[in-house]
Amino acid sequence: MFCIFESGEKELIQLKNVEKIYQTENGSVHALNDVSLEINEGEIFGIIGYSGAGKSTLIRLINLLEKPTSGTISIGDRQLTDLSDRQLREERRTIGMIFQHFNLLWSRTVAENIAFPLELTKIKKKQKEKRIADLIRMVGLEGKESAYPSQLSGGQKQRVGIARALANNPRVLLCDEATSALDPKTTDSILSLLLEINKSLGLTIVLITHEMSVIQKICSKVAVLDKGKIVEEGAVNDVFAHPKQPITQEFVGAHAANKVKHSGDTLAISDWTRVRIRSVDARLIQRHLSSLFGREHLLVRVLETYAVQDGSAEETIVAIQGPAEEIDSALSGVKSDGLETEVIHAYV
Amino acid sequence: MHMFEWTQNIDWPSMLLSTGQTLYMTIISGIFTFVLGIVLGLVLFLTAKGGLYENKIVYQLIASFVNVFRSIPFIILIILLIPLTVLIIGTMIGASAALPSIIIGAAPFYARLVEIGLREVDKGVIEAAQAMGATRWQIVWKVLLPESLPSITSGMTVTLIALIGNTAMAGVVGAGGLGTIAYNDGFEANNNTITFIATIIILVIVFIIQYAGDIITRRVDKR
Ligand SMILES: Nc1ncnc2c1ncn2[C@@H]1O[C@H](COP(=O)(O)OP(=O)(O)OP(=O)(O)O)[C@@H](O)[C@H]1O
Ligand SMILES: [Mg+2]
Repeated sequence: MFCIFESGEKELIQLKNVEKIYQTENGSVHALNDVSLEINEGEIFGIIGYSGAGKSTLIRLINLLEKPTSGTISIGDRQLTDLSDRQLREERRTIGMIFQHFNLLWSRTVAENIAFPLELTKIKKKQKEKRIADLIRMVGLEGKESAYPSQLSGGQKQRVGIARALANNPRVLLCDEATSALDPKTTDSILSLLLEINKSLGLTIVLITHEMSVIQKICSKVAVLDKGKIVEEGAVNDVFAHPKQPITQEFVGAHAANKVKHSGDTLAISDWTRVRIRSVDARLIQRHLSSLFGREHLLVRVLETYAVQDGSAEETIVAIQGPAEEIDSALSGVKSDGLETEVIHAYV
Repeated sequence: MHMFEWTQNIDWPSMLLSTGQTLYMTIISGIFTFVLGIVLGLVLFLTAKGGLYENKIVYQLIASFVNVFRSIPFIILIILLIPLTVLIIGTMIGASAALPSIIIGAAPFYARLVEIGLREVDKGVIEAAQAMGATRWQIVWKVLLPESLPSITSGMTVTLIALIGNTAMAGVVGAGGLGTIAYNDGFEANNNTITFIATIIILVIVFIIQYAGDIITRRVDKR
């Protein structure tokens, strides 16, 4: 038997020469222009672009909520653009989708919302209840089963959305700006949940966003969409390291500038000692940072904090100024707690 | 005969009978109005431009039917519908004979309220249901109706109260009920007490409906 999750390079979603033109009263809008994409099984594929670039249109084409004007869309060996309405509905049950504004039914409780996709298929009551309980546990909403969406926070609502999207064991999860309505901390928790699901279920995730940080945190591949065209595409690492198109450079640049903002004056610290601290536990890093800040003879600035590519660890780069022995003793304190430290640029 | 009494005494049994007739007309026509209004409201919503069953011809047909019957003053509607009433009920006198005109007067009004309620359902939720592979029929039953339930109940409350007004008016043309007793035994016989009591009873019925309607609406609204 072959395990499909191991053949990581297997192509799952394919868009070929897709055009989308909306006809409106004020003329036609060319929302997507000759878009071709290939998304492999098990990967987290990010699509980034400014408002109006056509991101939502693109992701809605993947489950045919929007019909392409021309071109073809296929998932696995099924060409969605050829399916009848009935076949398309069946196919959609294997494609989960989550939304920026969650789109839960306010008239249903958490458990009932998660039950919705299960009610559409003929599933036995016992089986259904077990599935709901499993899903609630998976997204960490135990105890909230009978709460209504109006009683939940944004992050909790999105967890319900994710559980609902996963109910019928889809192969693909589409995320339309799934974290754009959430604060940074909640965004991180939702992104970690998505990453966890991707890892544990081998689920292919397509997500769209206008924030490079979201791409950097969980995606392995990225496509940049500008005015309806894909202008750049590749592995996230490569695109980050060598952004070619001006728009990509803007996104990467804005992302870097955003981080510098947290680190204060960057010019004056160019000759400080730089240290990379790495741990699987972001909170542990935070704790050590605050104790570093508290040390009497040291000046400490955080330069960058980010999740390592595959999400298995967090890294923080700090700049430290002070007597060498003070720095050494501070770092050995960090090391003794199991964190990895690496001096990038010593200057004493 | 109480019609010829000049005392202020009230014939309670006939007042009770009239109240019963009013309740009968209200309940029966209320049920029909509820069902018909939801069906018409759904058809209007679903066949409208961009709707799940977009259909210009059906929409125009139902929309004009609703608009016409909503605009005709009730008292004229009763007269216009006499042939239909005789056809269905067999007579044009009595509580049952008032039902067709009351229903046809109220259902289009309620249909519009239902349609407005359906329009308020979040488009995103409908889209989410489509993305999950729901059929149009499943969307109607599992999304549209439950999500617009507060509008459906509050609209029904408003409609029922308007409908009671119409039962009283129907009373003037022989439907029976509190309208008849207030007009015939009260006004015509110059017995103001009867008119007064009949009015109070109608007010009490209206208040009860309003109160119950508000409670139900609040109960179903989890927003
Ligand atoms: N249903 C529609 N009818 C007409 N034009 C549309 C429709 N949906 C989108 N468009 C147009 O298509 C273009 C792309 O829209 P789309 O919603 O895909 O952008 P987006 O990248 O998702 O933007 P945002 O970040 O603001 O959500 C825009 O010019 C938009 O006005
Ligand atoms: Mg969008």
